[in-house]
Amino acid sequence: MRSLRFGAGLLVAIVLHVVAVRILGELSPAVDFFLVVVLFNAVDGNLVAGLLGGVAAGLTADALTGGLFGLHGFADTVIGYSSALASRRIVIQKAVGVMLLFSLAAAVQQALIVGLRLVLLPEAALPTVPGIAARIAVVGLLGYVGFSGRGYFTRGLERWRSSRRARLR
Amino acid sequence: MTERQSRWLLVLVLAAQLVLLSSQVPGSGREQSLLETWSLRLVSPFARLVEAASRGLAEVGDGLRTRAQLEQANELLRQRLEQLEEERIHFFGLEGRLERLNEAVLYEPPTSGPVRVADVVHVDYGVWFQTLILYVGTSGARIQQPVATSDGLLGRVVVVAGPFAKVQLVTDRAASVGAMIERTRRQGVARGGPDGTLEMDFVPLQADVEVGDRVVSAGIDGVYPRGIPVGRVVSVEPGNELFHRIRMTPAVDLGRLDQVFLLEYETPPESIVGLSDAQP
Repeated sequence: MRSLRFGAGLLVAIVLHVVAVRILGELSPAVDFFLVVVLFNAVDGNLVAGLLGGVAAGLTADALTGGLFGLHGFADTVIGYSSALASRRIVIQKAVGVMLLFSLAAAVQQALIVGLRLVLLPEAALPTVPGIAARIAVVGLLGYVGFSGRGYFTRGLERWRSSRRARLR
Repeated sequence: MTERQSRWLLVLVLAAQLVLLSSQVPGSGREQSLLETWSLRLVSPFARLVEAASRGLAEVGDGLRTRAQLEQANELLRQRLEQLEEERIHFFGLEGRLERLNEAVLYEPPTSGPVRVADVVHVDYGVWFQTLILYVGTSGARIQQPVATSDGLLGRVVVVAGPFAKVQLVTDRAASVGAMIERTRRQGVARGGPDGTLEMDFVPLQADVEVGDRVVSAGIDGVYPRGIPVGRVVSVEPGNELFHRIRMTPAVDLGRLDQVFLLEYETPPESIVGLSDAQP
């Protein structure tokens, strides 16, 4: 069930990525739907699921982007594992907390990718600070919206179930 | 799995990915990995599906035209056709004259093969790398195959995965093209610059370069054929003591890519290219 949910999330991320590139054009690097999928998959604290989710989503992102294959794979693996580890240590109940976690993860992901690029291909250009800031903000915002939406959905479902149960009695 | 075991798994996975990354470091001449090929093969059909759906929706909007609009478009096309016919007659004469001149000096120009159309499935506007994914059909593509549009040079194929191919654009920071200024035939190397522009290196300060000069491929890099437009010079500054600092706009508008051409171009065999490094 968990892998199915992750697979569906990854498919949605691919579709959103392609649509975002078509609509936003050169602004599309500001959004990373694959990282959002990795984080939602890792946020319940399962280390192996976080790690493998990071590998799968990262390599998918690499397949759709250019340059060194495995750059996003490496960064998202680290992010998936460390987010799952962080979720084991701290309990996040508010959407603002999720937003902060997602933003921090996006910042660490960018730092990892920049670091790897500097080591492996030193002559390559680096992203602009506004570009990185936009990515961090957008990933955080998607985390906030996703977490709040999931909360509303779960509560709504629970209300519907309890009222149905009452009616049946 | 315990936390300790998962930590070991993390180390193993990261080490494997580092090996994968470092095996690609030489950059332009890199070999494609099996993992990359299979990832592209798995992901590209979804990208193609979404692209086809959005294109279909856009075409529905374009299809709703009034009669007056169609008549106007028809008139414009007629005028364009007449203009092209005149140009064709002019070039036909020139071609004949060129062939006679070639025969006179026993010059045999390199043969250019057929051109194949491919659909653009996905464009990546990444900060560091710029690539696009093509659907090339069952006939496939080959690594290093040049890709162009009717406006000019676009890039070269770097990964082939069945009916899909990944193309490194000329605006990619890691890409370089042997280029020359069309007016003066001065050669240099065109590279991807910041913000989707191009830069031309190794053009000496003594060379005559002006803003507006057209830059075409020089056919000296063993990848791209000669004479395809690469870009147009937008600024010329003294870069250092030896070379100009030249910036160009790409000949191709990367925001309007729909279909592209795969060029069949005979590249020199590796055995001959390798001889340039040999000791005398």
